[in-house]
Amino acid sequence: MEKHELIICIVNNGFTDLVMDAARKEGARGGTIFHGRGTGNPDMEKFFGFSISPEKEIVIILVEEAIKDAVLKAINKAAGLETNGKGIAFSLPVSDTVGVN
Amino acid sequence: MSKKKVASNPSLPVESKPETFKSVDRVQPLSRLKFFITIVNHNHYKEVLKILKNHESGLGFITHGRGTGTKEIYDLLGLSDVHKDIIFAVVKADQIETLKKEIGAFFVKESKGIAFAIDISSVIGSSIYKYLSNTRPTGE
Repeated sequence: MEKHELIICIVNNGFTDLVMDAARKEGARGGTIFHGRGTGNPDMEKFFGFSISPEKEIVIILVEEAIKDAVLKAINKAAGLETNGKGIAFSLPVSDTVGVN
Repeated sequence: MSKKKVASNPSLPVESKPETFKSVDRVQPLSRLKFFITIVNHNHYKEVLKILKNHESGLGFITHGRGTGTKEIYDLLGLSDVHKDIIFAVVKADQIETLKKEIGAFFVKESKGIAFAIDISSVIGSSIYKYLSNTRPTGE
């Protein structure tokens, strides 16, 4: 039984397609998206005089351990901090899985 | 080498320890905790929570998500419903094997989905551990 890793990726609203396309190109099969709200840097909002939308989307993707690095690299390239997606991604080792084959 | 040597402190008189003192009147088995995440089709969370409750999991956090993927892949896998329920729960490690079996049977019988567990490395305080592991004092 192959080991799996859970990739968690937090990007700005609307960039999940980029993340999933990049991940799928590296062999990931599917992911799940849910909503979140960022809490970073309230001073920035005061400076600009309007509130920047902190809406985020979180993508969780379960992948095999072997392709984890490639998927993370692809996500960073497609929607990383240097892009408009301003995404961060990290992976966690998963100990047990059900429903993956 | 497995046993740790504990250096006895000579300045502490051994007699000061009351012999009848019992720090605990009851021993609870300690077990590692796992963070168990289940993703199922929308409106199937109640069944999952029931299964989790049968395995001594006291709390579940449910959020709404949506699946990604092209329509063809979804039809191929039978995952036609894009709306998902994500259930986060904490379970004890010794419950994982039976929980996996029961959740697996639920996925085959009722709703396609995936579930996985992540090890929890630390917990703040024993009361939080008791809360997360659903340890109740006996007789209450």
